[in-house]
Amino acid sequence: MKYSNFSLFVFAAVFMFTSACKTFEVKNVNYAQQVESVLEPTQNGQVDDSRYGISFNILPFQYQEMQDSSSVLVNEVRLIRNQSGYYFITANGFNNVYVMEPIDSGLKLKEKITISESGLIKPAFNLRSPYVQLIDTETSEIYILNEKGIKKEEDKS
Amino acid sequence: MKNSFKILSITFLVLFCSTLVTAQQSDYKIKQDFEKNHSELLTSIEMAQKVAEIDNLIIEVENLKSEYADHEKMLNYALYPESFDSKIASLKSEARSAEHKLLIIENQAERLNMLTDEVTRFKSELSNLSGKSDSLRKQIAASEESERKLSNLVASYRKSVEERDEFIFGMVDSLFVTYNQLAPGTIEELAKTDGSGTIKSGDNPLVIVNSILAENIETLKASSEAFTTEDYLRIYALQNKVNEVWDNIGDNLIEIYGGNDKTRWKKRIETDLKDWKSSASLSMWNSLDNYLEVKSVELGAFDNNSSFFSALDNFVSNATEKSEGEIISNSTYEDFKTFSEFWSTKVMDEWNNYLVEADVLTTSQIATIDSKIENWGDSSEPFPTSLLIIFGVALLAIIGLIIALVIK
Repeated sequence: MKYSNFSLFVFAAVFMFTSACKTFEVKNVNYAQQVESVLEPTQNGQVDDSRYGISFNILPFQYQEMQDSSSVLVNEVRLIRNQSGYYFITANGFNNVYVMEPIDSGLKLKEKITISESGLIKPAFNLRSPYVQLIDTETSEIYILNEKGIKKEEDKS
Repeated sequence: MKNSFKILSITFLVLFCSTLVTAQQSDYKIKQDFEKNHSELLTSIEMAQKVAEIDNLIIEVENLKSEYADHEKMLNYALYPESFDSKIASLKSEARSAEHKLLIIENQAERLNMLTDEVTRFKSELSNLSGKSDSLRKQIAASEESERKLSNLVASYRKSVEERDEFIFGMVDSLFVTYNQLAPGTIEELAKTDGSGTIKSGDNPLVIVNSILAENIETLKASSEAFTTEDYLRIYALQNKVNEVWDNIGDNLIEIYGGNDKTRWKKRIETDLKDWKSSASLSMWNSLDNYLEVKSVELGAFDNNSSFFSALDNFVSNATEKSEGEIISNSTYEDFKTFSEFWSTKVMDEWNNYLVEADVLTTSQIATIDSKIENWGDSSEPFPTSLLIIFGVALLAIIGLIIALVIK
């Protein structure tokens, strides 16, 4: 009886402690990257953003777009992070913008936003919090994005 | 009314289009463009050759600032760890620094032009003086005139060389003042603009320096009979001065005017300076030795500044010591008078400037010897005869007095 009371007490204390740890969180964190990163892939497809501390391989994205990951076919990768912490990734020739959520040692697809069937020619991201603006500077097409998709199409010239 | 509407429509259209263009720009591209403009302006500032160019570039920096002011916040972030303001400030600072440097260079270039005019004047004056001296020297060499007329020619020649030497003294002083005051860091810029041909080759100071050296070496070779010790002292002092000035400004002159032949100019002038120095030194010491020999002053061997001072010092000290041992005799007094006359008329008067200027004797060495000569004079002066008579009479009177007292 004496030991069972003690066990119960220990269990309750551990439960409360772990619960407290799990619920500790800070709200209103702004992950936003004010200016996009323009990254040049290596021969292996690796891109490295030394300023914002992220490094990944573009070939899986390229495969998604072109079903080809045998060699690197894009010369510049455009990357921006919105204030919620999602990465928006695209490149010239891509039809889509990939909204990626950071996970443990990886990026997980949150949303694949289809922009153009013919492919973006010269895409560029601008942060227009809370949105991310995508411009095809070649065609002057502008898209307002968030992690859920296209918010609205602003202009088509 | 219709026109006003038209203007309003156009204004609205322009504003709309510009807003549209602004809206369609990539922030990354704006940052890249700003950095490109910044870099181009920086290069232009660094490459600017005139103060007026810098003034225009400062206006362009202001324009850049206004053009990108709307993107300041984004640029501050994108340019981290620098900022929009720090980038603009660095351009302004570079521009101010370049302007300051160019102002100095332009000022130096102006002074250099003035000096070029002066060098032209030097060249013409030097040519006249050298021509006159050469002509007189040739006349002396070929002369079959009477001794009196020849003596007059020699005197004129010496005067003419003296005038030329005095002129060179002034000229090297002027060169020194001008080139020694060139601001550090401007020599290379001046060399870029002036070494290539702004200065006419005949007015190139290196040509003038070279001709001075050549003429003086030639003068020394040709004038052994005509010159006095004073002439040789002056020539030695002159070469000393030219050497000193060359040590100070020679590298600058070579850098500015040497063009593609810097090494050749340096070698040529330094070889001539060395030749002139050894020739002037040999002639001067020989002449001084001969002069003292003629005056029967046996100083012993000397062939440089320190051995000359030692010889003088030993001579005076030994003579003083000798005269101190002679109470009644005055055998050294004549030596003193001879040496004292040489010292006061030549060393302290006629040669003094050249001796000091050429470092043959320093002022403190002259003062030391002068003081010792005074002691020598005191100790060598013979006991006056009148005093000897008075002393003899007094002695006889005392002896007489003693004898008178004893007899009593």
